Amino acid sequence: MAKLRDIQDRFENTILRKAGDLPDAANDLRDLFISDHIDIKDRMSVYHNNVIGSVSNALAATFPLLNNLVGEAFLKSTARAFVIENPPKAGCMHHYGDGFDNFIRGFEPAKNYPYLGDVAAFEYAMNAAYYAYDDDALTPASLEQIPAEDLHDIHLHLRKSAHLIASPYPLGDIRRFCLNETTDQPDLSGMSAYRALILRPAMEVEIIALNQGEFDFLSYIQNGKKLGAALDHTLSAHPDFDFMKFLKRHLTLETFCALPPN
Amino acid sequence: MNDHKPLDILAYHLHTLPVGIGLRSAHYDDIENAKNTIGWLEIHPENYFCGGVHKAHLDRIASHYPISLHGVGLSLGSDQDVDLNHLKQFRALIDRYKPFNVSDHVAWSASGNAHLNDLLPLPYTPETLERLCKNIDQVQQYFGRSILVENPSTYIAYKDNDFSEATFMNMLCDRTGCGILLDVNNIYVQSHNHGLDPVAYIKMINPDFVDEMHLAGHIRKNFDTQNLLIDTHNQNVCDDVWDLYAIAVEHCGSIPTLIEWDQDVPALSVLISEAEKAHNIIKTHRTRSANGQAA
Repeated sequence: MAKLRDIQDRFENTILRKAGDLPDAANDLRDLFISDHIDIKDRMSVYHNNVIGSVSNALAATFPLLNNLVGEAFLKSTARAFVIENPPKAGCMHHYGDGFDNFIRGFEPAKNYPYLGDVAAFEYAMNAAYYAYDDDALTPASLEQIPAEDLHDIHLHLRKSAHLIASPYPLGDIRRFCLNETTDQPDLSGMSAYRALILRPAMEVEIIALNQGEFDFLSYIQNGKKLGAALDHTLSAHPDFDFMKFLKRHLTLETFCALPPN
Repeated sequence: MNDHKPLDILAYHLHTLPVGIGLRSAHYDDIENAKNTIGWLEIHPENYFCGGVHKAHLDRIASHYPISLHGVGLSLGSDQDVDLNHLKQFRALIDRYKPFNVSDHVAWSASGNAHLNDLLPLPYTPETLERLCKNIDQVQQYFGRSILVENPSTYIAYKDNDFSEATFMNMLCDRTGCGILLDVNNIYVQSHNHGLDPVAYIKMINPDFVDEMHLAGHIRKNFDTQNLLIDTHNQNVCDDVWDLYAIAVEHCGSIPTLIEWDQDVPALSVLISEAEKAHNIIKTHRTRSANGQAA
C-alpha cells in the first residue's frame, strides 16, 4: 500500500486539472482504487465536480459585479481556471479569492478588458470588509486625552475592515451601472482617477470616495508612518490638505481603530 | 451565549427535544420562533470565522438554543498536523458558545498548502489510524475536551483496506477517547456505493461511542446502467434512511439527532417537519424500551 502522503498528493494532483484531462489522470490511480461496475474515472469525476464546482461557485459568488460585466459562463470558466492554479489554502473560504484580480489581469481571454482586474480588486475588498473581524473605532474623546505634544509621534491604525482602492477606472460608476442604478456608460478609457476607502464601521460595508490627499494620508498611516510623519509627507504633495477637516470626517466615519489601552 | 445554561438543564432540554437542525442564514429571522419544535442548532464553525452580520446573528440566536459545532475544515485525516490558525479560530467559538458537542469528519481535505474544500476518502490502514489518532489527540488537547468524528460518504474504495469502516471508527474511539457522530445517510450511501450491508455496519458500531446522529438527503447520479449515491444534503431524508435510522436508534439509543440540509435550503417548516419525523421515531423507541420490548 502506498504511503498516505503519496496517496493524498496524487489524489490532489488528479483533482486539480481541467475536466477534459481527468479521465487520463484517473487512470494513474488504478493501483490504489477499486474499479468495478463503475469505472474509476466516473468515481473520480464526482470528486472533481465537488471540489472544482464548489470552490469555483463560491469564488464566482464573491464577484457579482464581474458576473454582470462578463456574464456567468465567462466568470465561471475564469474561476475554474483560477481554482486549478490557486486552490484554497485554508478550511475557511471567506478569504478565498485574494489574487483573483491579478489572475484576471494576466488571463488571456480577458486581455481586451483591462478594467476587470480593478473591478475584481474592488469586489474582493468589499468581501474582505464584510468578513473582517469586528473591532472598536477611535473616538474623539480618546484622542483628546493625548497631550498635544505627543500627537506627532502616535501611531494610528485603520480598522480591520479598511481597504484603500486606487484605480484609473471609475469603479464607483461601474458599480452603479452594474447594479442598474444608472444607465450612464462608465468611462472605460483608463483616464479617471478613482480613490476610495472600503470600510465596515458596524454591520454594513461602505464605499467612501476619497480625494488624493486623503488617500495618500491614509496610505501612509496604513504603511506604519507616525501621525506627524504622515501629515508632513501628505502636506509636501498636497499643500492645501486640511488636516482638521480630514480628522473630523474620518472620526465620524470611524475609519481608525481604538487606541490600545495604556 | 450559553453561560446561563447549566448542564442539567441542557441535558433535560436535549432529552425533551432531541432533534436539531443546521443554522442557515435564510432562517436567521425565523429560527427563534421554532424553539418549541427544534431542540438544538448545529453551526459550521468555518462560517463564523469572521465578524459582522453573521456573527451578530449567531450571538443573538445562540442565547436561545443549545449549540453543536460541526467542523468541515479540520482535515483530521491529512498526513500533516492540523492547522493551528484553524484550531485557534475554532477554539474561540467553543469558548464563546459553549457547545454541547464538537465534531468533524473521518476524511481529509488538505494536502500540503492546498485545501480542497471537500471530505475526501481515506484508506483504512494502520498508518491512517496512527495519523488520525495523532491529529484527534492534537485537537482534543487544544480544545481541552473530547470531540466526535463522523463516518464519511465516499464514492471510491481503496483496494488495500485493512479494516472495515465500522471497525476503524471503533478503534479511533478506543485509542483517543473521541466519540462517533453516526451519519445514517452516509452509511446508506456507503453501502450502496460499495456493496455493503448497512444494517451490519450499524450493528458493528459500538453504541457506547455514539453521541450524535445525522440524517440527510442524497441524490442518485447515473453512469450508463449503474449509479452512485451522492451525499448532497439538498433533499428530504428518503424512506430507506428513515428505516435505517429506526434501527440505529434501537442500537444506540435516543441521542441528539440532526436534520442536515445545506443546499437548496427550504422553508423552515420543511425542516421542522423532518425533525418531527425523527422525534417520532425516538418516541416510539422510548415507548418500546419502557415496555421492555426488544427490537
